Amino acid sequence: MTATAKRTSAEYHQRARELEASGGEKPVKIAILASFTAELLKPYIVVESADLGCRIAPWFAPFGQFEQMILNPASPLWKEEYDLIWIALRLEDLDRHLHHEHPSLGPERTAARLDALRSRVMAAAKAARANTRATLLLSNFAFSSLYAPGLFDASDPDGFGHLLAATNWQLAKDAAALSDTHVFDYQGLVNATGASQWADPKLWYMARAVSSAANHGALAQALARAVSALVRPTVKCIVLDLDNTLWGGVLGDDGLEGIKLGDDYPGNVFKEFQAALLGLHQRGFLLAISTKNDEATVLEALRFHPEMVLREKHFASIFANWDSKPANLRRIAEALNIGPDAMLFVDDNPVERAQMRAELPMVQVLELPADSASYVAALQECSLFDRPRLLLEDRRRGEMYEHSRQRSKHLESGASLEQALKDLRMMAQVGEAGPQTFERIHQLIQKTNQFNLTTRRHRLEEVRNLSQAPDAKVAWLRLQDRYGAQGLVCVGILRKLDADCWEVDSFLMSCRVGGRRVEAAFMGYLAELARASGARRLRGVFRPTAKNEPVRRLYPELGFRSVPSSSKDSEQVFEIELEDGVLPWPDLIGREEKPKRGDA
Amino acid sequence: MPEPLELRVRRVVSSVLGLPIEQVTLKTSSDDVENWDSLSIVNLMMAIEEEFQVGLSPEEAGDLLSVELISQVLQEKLAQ
Repeated sequence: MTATAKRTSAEYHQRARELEASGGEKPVKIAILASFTAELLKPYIVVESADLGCRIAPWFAPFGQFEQMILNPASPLWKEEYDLIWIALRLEDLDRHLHHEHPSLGPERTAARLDALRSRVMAAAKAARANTRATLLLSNFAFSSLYAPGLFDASDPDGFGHLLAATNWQLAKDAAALSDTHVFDYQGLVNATGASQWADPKLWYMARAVSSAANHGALAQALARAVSALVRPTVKCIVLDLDNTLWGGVLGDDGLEGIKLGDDYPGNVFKEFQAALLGLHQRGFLLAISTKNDEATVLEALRFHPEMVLREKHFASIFANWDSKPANLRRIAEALNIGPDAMLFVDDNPVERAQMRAELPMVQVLELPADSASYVAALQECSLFDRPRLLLEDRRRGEMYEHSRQRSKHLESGASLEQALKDLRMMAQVGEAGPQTFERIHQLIQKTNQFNLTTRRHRLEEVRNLSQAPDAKVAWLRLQDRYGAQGLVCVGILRKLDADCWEVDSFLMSCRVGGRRVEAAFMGYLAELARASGARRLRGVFRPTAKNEPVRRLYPELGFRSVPSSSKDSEQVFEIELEDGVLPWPDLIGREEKPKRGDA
Repeated sequence: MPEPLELRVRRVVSSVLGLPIEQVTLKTSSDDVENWDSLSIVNLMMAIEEEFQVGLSPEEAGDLLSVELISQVLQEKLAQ
């Protein structure tokens, strides 16, 4: 986190006003309930969020009135629907003298006071959760400079710092137990800036300001990053250049032995950068290569250079040729079945970056610094990698795509497609949503753009409520084949329209299992669920977006007939009678049943 | 020639309070600007400290009530 003052305070005010007057894209609405004068942050939040490309419109609860705001159903907080609520309570505002009193109180009573503070935050969070579908963000607790602990505080197992850390740990556990609730790492931010640099005592005494004016920008930026990570679809694939990006020097000129990569300067800079990218790969980001090089030479380097951290198997797609980078990026997007807007382009050459921005403005471009020693920092500062929580599917995604490369070879080699699909020995498991699957279902709902018939972005809480409603069903499908597990790849939501008819509210599938009849199997399962609930007709809706053209014909292809649509003109409505044998489960996919309305 | 102090003050007031610079005169004050409230005074204080590289005391901040008063505070401050 950098706390560089990019703008002066007056410039923040000016720019914020311009942004607010300019209109444009609908901003993310957030409500801020703080124990300090959060309103002072307003221009900083407006400007920093716009810089990140995720505009925020903040609303501030009257100073210090967080509990009143949350508990009173008639309070202004509940008059509007917010996307996110930030509960920002600080130790130094609410129990200001605790650290002075800590030595005389002793560890138990100090811990109890800290715990009371944590409970206060959690009580507020739970009350809010019961009232709203908004994402909740809870600040953890930090030392301010006024609380700088003594030199031997860390040496004492009952030291204030350790007690505070234990409180923050418990807060994280509490937040994780509450749906769509996340910790805002206020402590991490203060530490990164330096506790002694953080606060301006005068501003706190006078106006209960959260920090010195110079740190308002950094705090607003961290908040904007958190909000953006929680509400904005993230990057899925990192497209990398090779020469002077993954190694020093030019492979074509310097040769395999000549490129700089190893444990000494400057090779260690690039090795570390590769290690950081491998870390991202393991967190579920796909890696791909677009390089102006000869393919055989590139593969030789990936396979045989002794110092490479990233190997051929880590890349979901490799394009080494002399075509333009935007052309290659389009090919990678096509090969991986993801949109260009889910891709991040990393190249040391500013000309290539400029060309990418000009030709494919929706592609995210990492501003790689001229000094390669700062490459890793540039990755770490990139908000596009921020993810609230890592799911099992994220960890395994890279592996799955590697399997998928083998699978495509398999499909290319097969005599007939039908036979090739049979040889995949697919086995599906279907079931209804439960606590183990809510988060993955919500993730797919947020991320899936192409194979998504209605693109309704239900929030986590909605998914949970629908799964328990008598007139709705939330269903999933997991897939496995001879090359490995694909995980939970389909999500469907059904809603009862009337005694006879149920509607497919949402139907979406991860593109990595496209072209394998999985959608037919899953639709068959949804039809079974609807029939079991007494439906005689199933209605499907296609809501066109910029991304879902590939599934425009899905319903007719599955045997649904078109019916006139009374609502929006772009929406297409289809129906099918749920007679015996309708929407059959494809033979080439095996099926494993989950016994009850539970989970896998 | 450096920009006169009063003009710099007018600029800061204009940015922080969102008034067109031509409407900000020496006489512009909290009496006739609706959003020149206690929150704005803190915002003005932070902006002025930064613009003029000075530290203002809470007492001095209490005087940030008009362009004229701000200019006076700063003149005294910068003369020290």
